[in-house]
Amino acid sequence: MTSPQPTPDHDTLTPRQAGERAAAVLDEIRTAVVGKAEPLALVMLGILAGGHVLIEDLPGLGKTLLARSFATTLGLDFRRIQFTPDLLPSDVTGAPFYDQRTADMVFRPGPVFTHLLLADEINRTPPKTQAALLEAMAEAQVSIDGSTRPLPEPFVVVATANPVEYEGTYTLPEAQLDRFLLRVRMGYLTAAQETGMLRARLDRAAPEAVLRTLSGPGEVLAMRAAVESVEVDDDLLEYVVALVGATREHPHIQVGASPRGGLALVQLARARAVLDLRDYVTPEDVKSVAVPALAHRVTLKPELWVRQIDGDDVIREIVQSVPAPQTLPRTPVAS
Amino acid sequence: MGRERTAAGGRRNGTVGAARVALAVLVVGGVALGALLLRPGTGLFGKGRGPLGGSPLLVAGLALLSLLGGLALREKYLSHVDPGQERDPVEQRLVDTVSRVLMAAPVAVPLLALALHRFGAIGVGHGHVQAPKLQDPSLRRNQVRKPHPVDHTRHHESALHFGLLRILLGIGIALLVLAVVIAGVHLWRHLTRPPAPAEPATYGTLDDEQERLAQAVDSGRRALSDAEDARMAVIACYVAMQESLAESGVARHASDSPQDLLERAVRDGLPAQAAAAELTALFREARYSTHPMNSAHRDRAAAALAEIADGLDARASGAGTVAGVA
Repeated sequence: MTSPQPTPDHDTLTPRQAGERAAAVLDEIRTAVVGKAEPLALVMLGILAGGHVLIEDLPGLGKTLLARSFATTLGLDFRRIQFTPDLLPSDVTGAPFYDQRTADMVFRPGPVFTHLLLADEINRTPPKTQAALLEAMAEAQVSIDGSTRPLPEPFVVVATANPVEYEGTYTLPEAQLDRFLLRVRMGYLTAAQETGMLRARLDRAAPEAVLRTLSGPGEVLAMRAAVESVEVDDDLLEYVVALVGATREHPHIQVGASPRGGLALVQLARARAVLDLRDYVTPEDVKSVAVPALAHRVTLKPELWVRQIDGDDVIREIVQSVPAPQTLPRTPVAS
Repeated sequence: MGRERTAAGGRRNGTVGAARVALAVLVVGGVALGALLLRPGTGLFGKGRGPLGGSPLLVAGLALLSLLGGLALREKYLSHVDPGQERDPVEQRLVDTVSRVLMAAPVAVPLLALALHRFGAIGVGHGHVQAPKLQDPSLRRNQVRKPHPVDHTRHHESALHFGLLRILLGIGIALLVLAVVIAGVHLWRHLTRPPAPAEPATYGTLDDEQERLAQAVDSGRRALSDAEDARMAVIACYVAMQESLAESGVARHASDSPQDLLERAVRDGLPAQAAAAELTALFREARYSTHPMNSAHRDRAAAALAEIADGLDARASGAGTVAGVA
């Protein structure tokens, strides 16, 4: 699947340059992952915005393929953990071992020490092991035996979860869900897309497509720096705050989004602007990422389970009801 | 234009107010008529002494009138309510409820009137019951307990008083019937008036909308040429287009982004869609960015405006051709 190519170092990129390179990466990944334009774009937004991505959907929809494709194309070091009920925290973070030759305790890094970690079926492991990822995801570091070890940069967790099975699964706690910048749902392909996928498999005569490596860790960091240079109008910040505030007052929601949800919304909107080759955020950017950024951060009232209303529906309703910024700016901006 | 709109709005409010008054009078009249038909002091199925309760022909006639009037009212109501119109949930429930009530009432009311009226007892009643006597119940009880000797003078005064009361009651009923008829005529006129503003776009209204949109385009052009600040010129132009869209029925919702508004306008048949999209993109840049904007942006906005104007002209000429053929 991998055909490594040397990638030049990129110190600084403008938002437009970063957007163009991200678009090239997405185009390459689309050759392997067929018909998933929006989920692919959302995962790219999560990586650009410096967050972690939770992919939640049924088995067999290409979640693992998607994560591996990103790792390959972005030129990132890739590890995978298949979460199982007997997995221990040290299996994730690593643990000190006694070296008989030197008579010292030597730390053996776990799979978390990588650029892109695929946490496959994260809801199949007990909360204790899930929590082992918390510090890594929030602080990009791991503390073991009193010593803190930084993780490589960039560090991205792409976790997958199966939302349907309840037997032998452990629902992710809210604190851990909040650490994912966004949640992506893959969804089924249309009939035409599914036919295209089958045809592509027959044409390449191999189980998986071979992807080119178009980037590297340095360029990913440069793209993230470009996202930081995207400007956000004050009216849009107030709009984001209004959206997050509406989740706390909505009658269907028991626990609303945290302030971290507002930060996630702003960062994802900036990344969306970069992907559209802009250096400014628009209301469309905020609206387009509101559901992926906020839906997994709210806790609905229990009775809504019977009515089959989920977080996505409620956030969509909030987006359609919260006033967007007015046409005229409150303070005129000079050219 | 604003004055015309105000005047039209005033007329519309006036007719709506008159219709409400007419409807209220009809309701009050109906209740009063029901009170006259009912028989106080007796059970539901007992024969009462109401002024209009004695005539089976009148009851049957009123039942028939109620049936026909109810059916006519329902037909008019349904012709006024557009089933394809978007309403909020409360309005939709109200419309559904009124439709169901208007479907059931024309049948239920006459049936109830006929079923509850005791036709068999009428003849018997007429044979035995005297004309209604409006007496004090306590006085009637006293009469039962201890009959007084006949006093011709008092009997004469009582008969005179009773006759005067009947005349006054008759005049009251006549006035009430007159008021109900007038109210009914008003209501009928209101319901049969063609709803001119709610009609789908005819060539006349289309021309009017195009004129307004063209004015907005002109004002945007003026803003482009007048404003020294290219950013503010682009924003002013977009505001003018947004106002024109609102006047043509595509108002911006509070939660709309510029793209949302553009998509709804395109669905509504906005001409020069590419130019409108270009102008929207320029507006977004002018509104939410801080990087410098220059005359190139202004020129692009001007070109987009010109294209919109051309699209309007083409649509207007096309509409005119079709109108001429028609």
